[in-house]
Amino acid sequence: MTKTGSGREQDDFEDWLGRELQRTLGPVRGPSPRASQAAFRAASRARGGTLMAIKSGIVTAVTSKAAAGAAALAVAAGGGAAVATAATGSANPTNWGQAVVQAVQGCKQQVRSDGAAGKGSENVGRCVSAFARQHGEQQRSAHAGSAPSPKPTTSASTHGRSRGSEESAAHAQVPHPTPSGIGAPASTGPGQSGADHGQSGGHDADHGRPSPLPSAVASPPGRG
Amino acid sequence: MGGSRAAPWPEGPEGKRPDYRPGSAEDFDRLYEATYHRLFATVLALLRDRAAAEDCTQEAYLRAYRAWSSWKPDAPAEAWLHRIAINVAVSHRRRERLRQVGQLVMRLGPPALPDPADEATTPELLRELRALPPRQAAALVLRHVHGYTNREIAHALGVPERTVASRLAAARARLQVRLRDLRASGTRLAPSVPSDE
Repeated sequence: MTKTGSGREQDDFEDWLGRELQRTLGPVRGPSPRASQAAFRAASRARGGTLMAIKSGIVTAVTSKAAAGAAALAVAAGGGAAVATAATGSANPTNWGQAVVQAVQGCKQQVRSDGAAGKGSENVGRCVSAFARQHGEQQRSAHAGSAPSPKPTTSASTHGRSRGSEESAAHAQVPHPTPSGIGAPASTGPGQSGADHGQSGGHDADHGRPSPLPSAVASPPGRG
Repeated sequence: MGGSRAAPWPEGPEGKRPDYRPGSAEDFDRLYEATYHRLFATVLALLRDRAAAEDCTQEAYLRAYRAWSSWKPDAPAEAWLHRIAINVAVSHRRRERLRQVGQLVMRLGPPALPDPADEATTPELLRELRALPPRQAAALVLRHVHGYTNREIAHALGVPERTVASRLAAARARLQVRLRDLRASGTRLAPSVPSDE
């Protein structure tokens, strides 16, 4: 069967097109085929970094909770001002204020990492009130513990006025805890934050993933 | 016809298609190094400049890497990669067109013209190829440059084989008209696309 003129012309054109395309695009080389320099490698390294951050967050959380536990043990032991010192990291009331600020900052970070839309102020508020409640309990413990104080000059009336000196004494007796021992709410914050961060990291990774199916990766084919 | 050509993807020492294990980072590295230049050539045929082609190729591999653990070896890995890369290139073209329209509407000046140096060295054929609908152009490149069969092109484009045949026919017919004068004049087409290597 012989081909018509137009059929032959089409075949010729196809041969010519194939040759020219080969000649034009065949030798094309990209910048570097090394996998170590590819974008996906950098992305996987970054993901590894995120995992490391999550791990360190968890370690921090565990450490903070251990410090909080130490503070709670100190409460049980009955050292009032000592407890306040243990909880805040300092016997100075000014530092307690700083501890509150730190607790609030910890809460804010946690809320940010949680990404709980619309719940942020509520979470911070809860965190602050938890810190205040704990601080109040510590103060009550301190007052209760100060009554049988062996110091002859210490009395209920003077306690209110010269708490600083009493706590200075307590401060002299009790060594400073580590900064990670700052109040339970503050330590609970980063602890939760660490765990949540891990979850949110995982969620983000999943969220950023395209669908594993090639058909889902591909957009609907056009009509071409 | 290109359909009778040997399989385009690299073959192992026993002449078999290389085995890739889904999710294996080492295998993905091998796949990347074995297919990078071909994928880049396909994307370059669809886009206007090399920089965009490089970006889109990297983006395609990044997407593929994220989906690598779920890749199913029922189709060649390279065809699967091509499918992702073509979609990335098509999206890029669409964005580029929108950006140009936006520039015109906002009267910020004329749309960015391609680099004149690039234009001068871009072969006429490549310019005409880029003027085709992207999936038609991709089908031509897969057939004539990479030697894919219709079935493999169908995998790469995510369409039935019949659609591949009709796209190839439409693309050839259009190019035949557009390049007739050039062919008739016997003008030698511009040299091949310069390589970085």
